[in-house]
Amino acid sequence: MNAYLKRVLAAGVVLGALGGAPALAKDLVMGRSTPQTVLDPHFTVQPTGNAMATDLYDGLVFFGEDLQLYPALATSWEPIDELTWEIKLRPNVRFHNGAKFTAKDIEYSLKRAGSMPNSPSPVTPQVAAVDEVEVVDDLTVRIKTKVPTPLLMNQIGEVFITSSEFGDVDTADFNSGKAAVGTGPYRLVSWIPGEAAELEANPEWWGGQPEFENVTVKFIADSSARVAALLSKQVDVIDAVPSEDVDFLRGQSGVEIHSSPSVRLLFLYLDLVNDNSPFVTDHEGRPLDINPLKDVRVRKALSKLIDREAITDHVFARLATPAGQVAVEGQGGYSKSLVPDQYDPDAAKVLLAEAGYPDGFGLTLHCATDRDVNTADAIQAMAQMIARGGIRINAVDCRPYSVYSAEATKGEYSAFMWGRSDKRPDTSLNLRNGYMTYDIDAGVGAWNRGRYSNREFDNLVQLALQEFDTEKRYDLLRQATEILIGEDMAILPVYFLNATWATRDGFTFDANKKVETSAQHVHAK
Amino acid sequence: MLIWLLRRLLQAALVLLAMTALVFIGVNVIGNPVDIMISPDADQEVRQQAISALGFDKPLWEQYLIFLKNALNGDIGNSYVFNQPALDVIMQRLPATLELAVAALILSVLIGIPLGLIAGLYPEIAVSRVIMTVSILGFSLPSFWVGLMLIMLFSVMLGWLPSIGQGETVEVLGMRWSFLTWDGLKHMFLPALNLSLYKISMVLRLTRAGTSETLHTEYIKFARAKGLSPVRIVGVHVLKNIMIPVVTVVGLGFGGTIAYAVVTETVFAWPGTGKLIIDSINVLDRPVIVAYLMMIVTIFVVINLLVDLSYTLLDPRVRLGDRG
Repeated sequence: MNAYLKRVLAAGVVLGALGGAPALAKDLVMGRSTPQTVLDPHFTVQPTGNAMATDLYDGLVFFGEDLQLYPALATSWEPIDELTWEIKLRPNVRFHNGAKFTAKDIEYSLKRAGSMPNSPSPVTPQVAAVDEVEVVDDLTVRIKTKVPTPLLMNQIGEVFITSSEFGDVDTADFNSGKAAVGTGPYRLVSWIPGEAAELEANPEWWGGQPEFENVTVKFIADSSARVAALLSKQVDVIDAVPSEDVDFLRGQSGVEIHSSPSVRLLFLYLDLVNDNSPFVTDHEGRPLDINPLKDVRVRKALSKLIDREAITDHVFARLATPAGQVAVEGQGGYSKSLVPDQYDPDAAKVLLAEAGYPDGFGLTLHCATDRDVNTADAIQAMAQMIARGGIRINAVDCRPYSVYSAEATKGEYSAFMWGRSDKRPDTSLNLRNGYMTYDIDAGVGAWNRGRYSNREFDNLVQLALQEFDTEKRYDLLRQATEILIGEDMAILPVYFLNATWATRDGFTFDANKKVETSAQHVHAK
Repeated sequence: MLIWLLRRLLQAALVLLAMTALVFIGVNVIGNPVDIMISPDADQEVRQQAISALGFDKPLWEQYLIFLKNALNGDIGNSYVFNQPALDVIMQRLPATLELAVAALILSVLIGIPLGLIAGLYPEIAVSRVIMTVSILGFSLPSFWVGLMLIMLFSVMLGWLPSIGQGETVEVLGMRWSFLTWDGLKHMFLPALNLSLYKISMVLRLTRAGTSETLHTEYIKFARAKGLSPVRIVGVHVLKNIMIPVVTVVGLGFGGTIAYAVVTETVFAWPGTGKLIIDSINVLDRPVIVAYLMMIVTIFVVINLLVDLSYTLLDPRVRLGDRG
């Protein structure tokens, strides 16, 4: 059974059924690749800050494996007018220290999440729409927004709720464990930065009895060390199994692999704005004063030159899936008609000739070496495929992410690989920030690195952002994506990475597309 | 002597100053942590707020002056990733690295010197040849690979020793040490051995070279002629005279062991400073980078000082001149 279904069902179970809950039998030791740098769930949106938070804290809502919203601390929510949402809260919920959970904690947490000035990756965007939180009674809050915000619950649903009783606390109070008190299925026992954290079951969790009495999370950054720890039985579960070890582990007795396509999309950004694109040349390597990438036929030709299946089969040993759009199936805005382009060099050559480049042109591809697994290998394969179509590849240049991200965002490359994990219920924010016309004043298109611009697309996304009806919103987003990829090929989606876990005998794991390694995804067999 | 000491301290302060300036310039060339870490949901306004809250919109010289001013008051700044003082972050992890490095140092002396003596005193016997051959492997094999092999052998195949983390620790002076518990020692053995392999080989080869050289000197011949016992000849006259190069290598190597423990720490998931500095560089966590390098510079200066002082104890001819 899926974790979220279990959670949803468990939530409906009357608390009196506790007598029938399964006995707490086992302890669990997990080996996790991401270190934990803070226990303060409001400090950063990075997994180094919130990976463990899903076990310690709850949000207003829970995002299921289908990426949609399910009730968690909020049991229902509805807009009462354009600028106000009313949220009903779950009764009889208690924090780990016994304090009662009430509407005040919502007010407190939303405010705290929006006021972390020292964070380079603040949670502020999630609460930016909130104008005022009105506590109606213990179990009802009304949230006033600055502008009509249909996506309010998607956004504030990501904020973890902590107890207002601690008042003005800072990150150190969370790290020491004093304020790291949530309502989640596990309680914090201890945390040693860089090494391990220990959790214990919260038997009074509103979602039912957690499955393990004691959970130890060990932070093992090195992938070989993680695999060795699993094989030597020092841990029961590991995440981020390196693809080169998957076949070996499959052959080991008592080890099971759990893999699922994830929301992590790798795509190729193309420079759509500069006439003198920095890394575009003619087919003999001389500078070119028109930019062929601005021609949609060239972009479509490039897409047809990439043999996505060959990449996912050979570079990733099938631990990746060809991508044809930005959304995954089930996500709002997914379009059934957008399938990954098939490898078709003949059609590509025709398109290139039509665009006026029968002899091709020259291109340098860029990527980051240390962000996603095997990106450098994948982009080298792509370079050879593109070269086979008659385009001269001047170089493939891969750099450390710290250098790469700054240069890519400044627009110093012409064609470059980028990764994006959009685990939201729908693609509206991804489309708004990633592809709407870059406009500082309007606050849209902030990360539109290729500088794609299409008024029709902008309008559709704008309408979707204001649409309260979910079905209608998803339909608008679908239409927008069909323009973005189907008509304009503004970026070239290449593949979705798989997320892979391995477990030892006696344990199983819910491979999930959100790439979460929380204790709730582990089950005893 | 006092002037010599003061001069050394002044030099150290200048090195620290130059190092911090270099870090500021270097990190600034690459960019800032906001652009690396910020949520892709953030708009330009949020990004700008984050950048100015952390002071990255100020000119570099101004950022540097602010840093210097705070540093003089003992505040190196908060880590951008840990949201706590960078020095605290380092200090939390330093004991782990220190005890690993000390354990490696002890192993290198306990194993390296006796084996080196054997190889130097009896160069012709088979055991010596084996020792010398294995010592070549000791400093030519990459420690990353050796570490994984140790794990495969002792943890995965034999199941004798744990391969990750520090194990059980005891808190002394507010710091966590694992060498005080049996479980902690078990956890420490493999990483300490891995870290020490290179040093064992170095000490061994130095000891052997020194021994075979010293054996032919006049004073050893004289000691023999005088009828001193072989134990006293080797234990006092030979050993004392070969110690200067060994102390230099062990001492100066100790700073290096701390600085380069990163590979061993990563492979054995040892919660020390090595892994921390790599992560910090990747996300441009400038306060931690600065604090870490300041600590390393200080350690190097202190060790150099101790090495120089120990020369005077080992060899009365050595004087720490005022012009040194």
